[in-house]
Formats: sequence, structure tokens, C-alpha cells
Amino acid sequence: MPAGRLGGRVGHVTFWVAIWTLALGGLLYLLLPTLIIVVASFTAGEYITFPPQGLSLRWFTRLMALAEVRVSAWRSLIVATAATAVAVVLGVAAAFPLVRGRFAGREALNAFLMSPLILPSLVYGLAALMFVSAIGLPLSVPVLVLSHVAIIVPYVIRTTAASLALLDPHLEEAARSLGANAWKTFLRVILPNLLPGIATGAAFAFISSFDNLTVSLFLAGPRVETLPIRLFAMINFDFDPAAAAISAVLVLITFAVVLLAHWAVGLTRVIRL
Amino acid sequence: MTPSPTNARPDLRLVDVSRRYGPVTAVDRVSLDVAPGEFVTLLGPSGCGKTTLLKCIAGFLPPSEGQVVLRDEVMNDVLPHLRNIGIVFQHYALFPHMTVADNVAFGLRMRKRARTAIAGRVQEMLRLVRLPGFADRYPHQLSGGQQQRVALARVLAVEPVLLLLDEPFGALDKKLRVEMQLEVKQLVALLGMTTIFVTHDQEEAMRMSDRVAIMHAGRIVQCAAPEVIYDRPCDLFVADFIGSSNLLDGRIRGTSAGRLRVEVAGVPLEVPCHASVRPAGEDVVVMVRPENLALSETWPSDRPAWAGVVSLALHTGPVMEYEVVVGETWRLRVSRPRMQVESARVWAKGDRVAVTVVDLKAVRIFHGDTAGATSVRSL
Repeated sequence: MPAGRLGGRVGHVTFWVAIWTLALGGLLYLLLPTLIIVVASFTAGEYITFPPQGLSLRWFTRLMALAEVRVSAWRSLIVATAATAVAVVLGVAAAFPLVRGRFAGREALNAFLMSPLILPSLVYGLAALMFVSAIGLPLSVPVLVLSHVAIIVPYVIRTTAASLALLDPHLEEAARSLGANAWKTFLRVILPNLLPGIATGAAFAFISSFDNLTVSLFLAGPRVETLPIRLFAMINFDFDPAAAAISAVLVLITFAVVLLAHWAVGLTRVIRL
Repeated sequence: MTPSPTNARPDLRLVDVSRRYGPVTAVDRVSLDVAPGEFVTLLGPSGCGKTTLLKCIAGFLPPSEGQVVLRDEVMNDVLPHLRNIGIVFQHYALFPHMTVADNVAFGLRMRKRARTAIAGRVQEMLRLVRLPGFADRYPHQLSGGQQQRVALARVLAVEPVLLLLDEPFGALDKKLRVEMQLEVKQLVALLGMTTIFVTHDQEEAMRMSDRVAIMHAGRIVQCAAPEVIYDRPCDLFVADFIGSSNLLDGRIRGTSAGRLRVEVAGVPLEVPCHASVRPAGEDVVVMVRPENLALSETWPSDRPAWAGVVSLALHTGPVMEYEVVVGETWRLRVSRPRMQVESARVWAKGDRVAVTVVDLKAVRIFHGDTAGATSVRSL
């Protein structure tokens, strides 16, 4: 075999070895801590250890018994659901002018609407708290929901805008010429074709609201504690395996939402393609 | 029957319609009457304003000036969904999340027809476009031609006043395109549908239309039956755009007995005077279609001829296409049917030939701005 060809083969092999090493190494690095905490939550012992001392569900049972955990978990679900619903409505509406509109400053508006993704959420939390107290609103669940909306709406805008940009504008013209008014065109023709994008954005939005700590810390107040805040408090005050169990539950819910979104997107794909 | 454009009530009337985008005038004072059942084509190169004009008619763009009148009703301020105009797009724009039946039913549902009536009409339309049994398919499961027919069924189901076809054959391969042209033409004629067809393909325009409106730089430069457009183009742009032509520099030598003497490439031609008489000495452009030139080995005694050498001979199937070099710079395009008896001879590159004009009545003369029409044109 000529030297050049051998060199080429060696280069080819080393390339793929490098790619796989990096990919698997990165994946392991990302997943391992989560995996450890989930495994540790099944311990039968009194402390968080790895490997766990025996296997049991006792800390999950204990979670159920803790009233404040149940309340905060329920509240987090409500806040995340409500914030996602509001974000979907606002985000889908905002995506339209951003994609179909022809006006000066469109790019600037786009950047502005994406800014919550870029700005530190700690800063946003502080700013929102000052704003809310300045206009005299008491800290409450609706206030918490609205503050979450601000940080999660960019996910919905982004994914919806991406779907809309791929949608043939002639579909709208076809619907209009067939007698559909603007509302019917939107509900019967455009919206069904945007569902995969909206579902993906909603899943991201839900998860970022559900496990948001920084903004909630500022806006939750003493009587509207969310699950991440409860977890944070438990880690601070009594670092027992119940905290690991909460983490496991959070991970589980996150996976469930992602799978749900995946299933929804897959379903609409089946209908379309 | 070719409907006359002077009928009492045109289905569509455009009155001095203009559309500007900032400083750019995309459509420039277009006026056009389309009679009931007429098939009119807007033909022009891309950027000539034909699609903008179509959008003005459909209501997706308001005209900057002028009126769009549909059956005596001014439509300028009427929203598109209230105009009852059907459109078929180049890529059909079928609703991807709906079955064929739901696509066809869409317009009827928007009109709140009874459920049973809709079902019946959908079946009827699918039979009409020869797609019965496709009701439950999704658009992506259909071929391009089938999608095209569904798009037609969807539009025709609501019985629009006017049918707009926006380059509907552009996405089809050549053989299928010709089949669909024929099919659409027959369907539209069967239903007596008034149709405006937008295309940049002149063959398609000639084949399908009652009248062709040639658009250039936002204006309709000529609107007439296809054979008139071909035989008597009104200016150099149309002459050059439609079909292939020899556009040759010539000079007026004078008139006699209703005939114009014009010298082209050193040969005097006597052409019937069909236009305004021009002064001797004026430079003009002379249009001779390639099929209006004949080649012979012997010098004709009865008519003037150019002496030339065949520089190119191409087979296209039914027709032979030649390029003949005359003198130093002149290149004439000549096309002869291969089966024609008296000129059954097929010439080869290098043959010395005499080139004559078959029919002097078909020679057209234009005012000479020769910059856009040089005598040297390669095949």
C-alpha cells in the first residue's frame, strides 16, 4: 500500500476516533451527575451517598409525607402550565410580524424579544421585583407566572418563527382566495402546520419555568414557594436523601415533558408527511 | 369560438391599474377587458409585472392607482376572501394537513354549504379531474400532476367568477406539462371559465390562449390573438420575445406603388407597405422569421436572393435549423421542415446556397433602434 494512501487511512480512522471520544465523553460528563443523584435517591440509608446503601423508596414516601413539598410541587406545575399557556399565545402572535412582516426595525425587535435568553435571569429577577413593588403589586402566583412568561416566551417565538418561515406563504393566499377570512385562515390552515414548532417551544418553555430558581427566588415571596425553591431550602438546611428524591422527580417530569413534545411533534409529522 | 373582447359586459375589467413599490413602478397603467369565458395570458419575462398584476386582481395587493372591476363591481377595497376569484399556484399550495377531499371541500365549508351538498360536490369535482378514489389521500402521497388536478378541483368547486393560473405548469416536467396544458385548456373550456393565465413560457401562452397580453416593464405592449402576436408583432420587443426571428439592419430606399423598397444586407426587398410611409434613407430593422426563408442551390430568376454559406445545420426532429453566413457579418437563421417535398434537400455545413424570402407580406419593418437588435445572432 502506498505511503500516501496509508496516511489517508490513518487520518480517516483518527478523525472518527476523535469525534466519538469527544461525543461520548461530553455526553457522559453531562449526564453522569444527574444519573448519580437519581441513583442516590433510592438509598435505604440516612445520608446521600454514592453508591447508595441498599435500595428503597423510603425517601420518596417521605416526600409524599412532607406537606410543603406537595404544595410547592403542585404550585410549580400550575405556574409552569399557566406561564407556558400565556407564552404560547404571546409567542405565536409575536412570531407572525417577525417572519411575515415587512417593517423597519424588524431585526431589532427580533433581538429585543430574544433578549431574556441572553440577559442574566438573576438581573431580570431583581428588575422584575423592583418593577412589581414600584407599581404596588403584591407578590402572588399571577405575578410569578407573568415573570416566568417573560423569560420563557423567546423559546416559543423562536421555534414558531422557524416553522412559519418554512411554511409556503401561498397556503395563506390559497385559503384567502377560497373564502376564508383572516381568522379562519389562521386557525384552519396556518396553526395546524405550526403545531410541531409550537409543541417544541412549549416543551422548552414549560421546563424552563418548572425548574426556574433565580427569578422565582426574587418573586416567589414567603407564601408562594415553588419546587426548586423548596429543593434549594432543603439542601441548605437538612441535606438528606429527600433532596435527591426531589431531584429525581424533577428529572422525571422534564423527561416526561420532552417525550410528550416529541410524541406530539412525531404525531403531526405522521399526519403531514 | 373566440369570444370578442368587445362584449357588452366583461367579467374582468382593468382600468389604468398601476402598482408602485416606493420609486419602482411594477405595474404601469394597465387596462384590459376580459370577456366571459375568455382565456387571456399575461406573458412576459420575469420582472415584467405580471405576477404583481395578478396579485392586484386577486386582492393580495391594492393597486396604487386605477380600478379592478369584476362583473361591473369595483373590487379595489374588497378583501380577497370576498372576491370569489380562484387561484392555482405554481406549487399548488395544497393544505398539507388535509386529505384531498378536505382540500376540495375547504372553499365550500368556508361558504357554509350543507354537509351532504359538500360531499356530493367533492365527489363530482374529483371525477371531473379524473381522480375519483383519491379522496382520502394526503397531498404528499400524490404526484405533481395529481396535485395540480386537486388544486384545480379545489378552486373549481366553489365556481369562481374568475380563474387565475399563476405559472401552474412550471414545476412539471416537459411531457407532463404538455398533457396538463391540454387537460386544463379542455376543462376550462368545458366549464366556460373566464381565465387569466400568467406565464413566461411563450409556447405555453400561444398554445392555450384566446388572447396573449405581452408585458414589458410593467405595461401591456400588445394584446391580441396568438397568431396576430406572432405574425404582426407591434414592436421590436415583441418581435424579439415571441418566436425566433432574424432582426436585420436595413435602409429605406423609397416607395413605389404601395411597396416599400428596403435594402437588407446588400439586397433590395420590395415589401408591401403595411405601416406609415417612411422617408428614404431611414435606418430600420427588418424582421424575417426563420421559416420564411428558403435555401436553394441555383440562383432564383424571379426574386432577389442572398448568396451565403451554411455554417451550422441542426436536426431538431421535424425541422432542420440552419445558420447561413452572408457576406462578412450577416448570419441568417433558416428553418425548413424536413418532409417538405420541394425542399427535401438537407444542407450540410459548408454548402453554398442562395437564400430567398418565401413570403414578402410576412416581413415586418420597425423603426431602427438597432442597438437592441443586431444583425449578428447566433443560433
